[in-house]
Amino acid sequence: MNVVIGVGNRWRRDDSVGLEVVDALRERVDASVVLIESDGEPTRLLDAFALAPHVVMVDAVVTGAEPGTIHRFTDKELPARMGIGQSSHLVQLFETIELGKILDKLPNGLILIGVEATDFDNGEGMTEPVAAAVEPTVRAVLGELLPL
Amino acid sequence: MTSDVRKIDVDYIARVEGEGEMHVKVVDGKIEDVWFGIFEPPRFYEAFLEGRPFSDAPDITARICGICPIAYQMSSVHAMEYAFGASVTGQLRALRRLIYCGEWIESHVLHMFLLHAPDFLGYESAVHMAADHKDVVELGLRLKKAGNEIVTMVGGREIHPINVKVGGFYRVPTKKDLETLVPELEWARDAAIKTVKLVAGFSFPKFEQDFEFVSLSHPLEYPFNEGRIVSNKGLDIAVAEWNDYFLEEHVERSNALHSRIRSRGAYHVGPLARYANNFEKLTPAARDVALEAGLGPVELNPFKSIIVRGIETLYAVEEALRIIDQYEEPASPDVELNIHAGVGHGASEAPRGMLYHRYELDNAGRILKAQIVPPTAQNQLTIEDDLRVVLEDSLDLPDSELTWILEQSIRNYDPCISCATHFLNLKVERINTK
Repeated sequence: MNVVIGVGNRWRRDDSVGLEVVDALRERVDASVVLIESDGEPTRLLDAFALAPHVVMVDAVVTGAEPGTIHRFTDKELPARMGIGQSSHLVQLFETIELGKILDKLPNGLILIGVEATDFDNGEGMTEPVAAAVEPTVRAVLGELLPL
Repeated sequence: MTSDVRKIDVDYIARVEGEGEMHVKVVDGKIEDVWFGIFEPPRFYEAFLEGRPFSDAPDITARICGICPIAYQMSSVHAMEYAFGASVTGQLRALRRLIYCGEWIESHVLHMFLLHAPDFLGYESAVHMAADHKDVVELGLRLKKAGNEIVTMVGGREIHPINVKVGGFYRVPTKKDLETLVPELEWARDAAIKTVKLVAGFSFPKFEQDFEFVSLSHPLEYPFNEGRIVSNKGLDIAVAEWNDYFLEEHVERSNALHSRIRSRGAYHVGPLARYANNFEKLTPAARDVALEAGLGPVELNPFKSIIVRGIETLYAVEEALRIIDQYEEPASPDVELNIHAGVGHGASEAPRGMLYHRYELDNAGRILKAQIVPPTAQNQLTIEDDLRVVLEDSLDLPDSELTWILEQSIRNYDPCISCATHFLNLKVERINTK
């Protein structure tokens, strides 16, 4: 079984890209691929990690690259300090992944496909470069799925 | 003139549901300015709601906060029902309390274990803490899940629950559905007591403020959805009178509105306020555990809010068990609405404090005007007051330690991700003119 988790918020413009990719995947995969929408909430993410040994996540990221750039990280490549400890409220995605490592709740293979995003303002609709990245991101995700 | 400006930025990844900024200016060793700024989505949502049908309000406002969607749904449905003169009673009312229990458990536990506890135990984050306290983090994750399960069962979906509507629910759970939650909630009751004992053992800065605690108060229950708005300094008003007694002000440098009590000033909403105003309405077990944990019936130290969150978690678990025990599936999932023009007011107790909604509706039930006052905006002045006092005592600390205690002070209020802050940019500016 493959699990694909799209992370995002449909009401914060480019932040919806992970969910848009999951929407697009619905018509392209069969029941052997479990598609999950997440708002990044850590306990539900950790539960989703436990569903399969191989998990692909899709999320908006900000690294300073060109908007729409598609990044690929494995959990081992994620910079250990990235985003940790500075959040006043939510436990961030990378923090959740780190937490999963410590609590032995990570799948063997965790791939994060990140889409470089710029606009996280309130509202619906993505910026043009991010919207244009949805289809190539879908193909990138399909390329990560393990054969049954 | 020399100046030493330090700025800490966090700007990496998504989950940008709200942003905050704290700015501290110290001139010649004296605090000149303390500013805790939030960028506030409710303003956007107020405008977004105008022209939409009343029935959109619960779903749309639920998106304001990823952590407390139920609070937004509840305040909005109560406001609409007020406008239409509808009354949701009996088991439907109980189900609303039940889903709110779930949200309190989720939100309080997340905050206690993954955000606030690391401050007290000297860890930079939950991840750093988990390496040494795996069992503590696992306790928290399982307890939180007990809350998640309630919200999913009654709310109909994992994230952005969609089952709540003006007048009741789209569908109601069966008694059997709810009973499946019981074994884990029974475990959660013990886990909540264990949690209170754990956090009560932390060491707390000696710090008390003469707060005006504002919360709902109901004659029979610890408040979630209903009651009058009261304070420990004599306020006692109907929810519909909110704008007569409170004032939202634009503050320079921020697009957020600060709230104050007219002619008085800052006030405090959230667990400490609810607890102080409603101690007698807690379950006997929750009261006993609170007293054993060293709390009085009123607690003035905001750092001890972590203990009160534990008490409220215990209360929410016990209340959920009571509601499930007494549940009988209602004949209809909702009540009929008589839609007409009017003004509606609703207030409910979000995990981090009272959340007020007001709507003006036309004859077809379309929203003409919306007002949403989130708890963190209400606490903003109080947070700044606390920061000023903490700073007075801590000015000699190096910036890293100062940052730590200031962040911890802000976290006492569990500021809302979206209605307040997610990325906290802290800027300490020290200027020496001599």
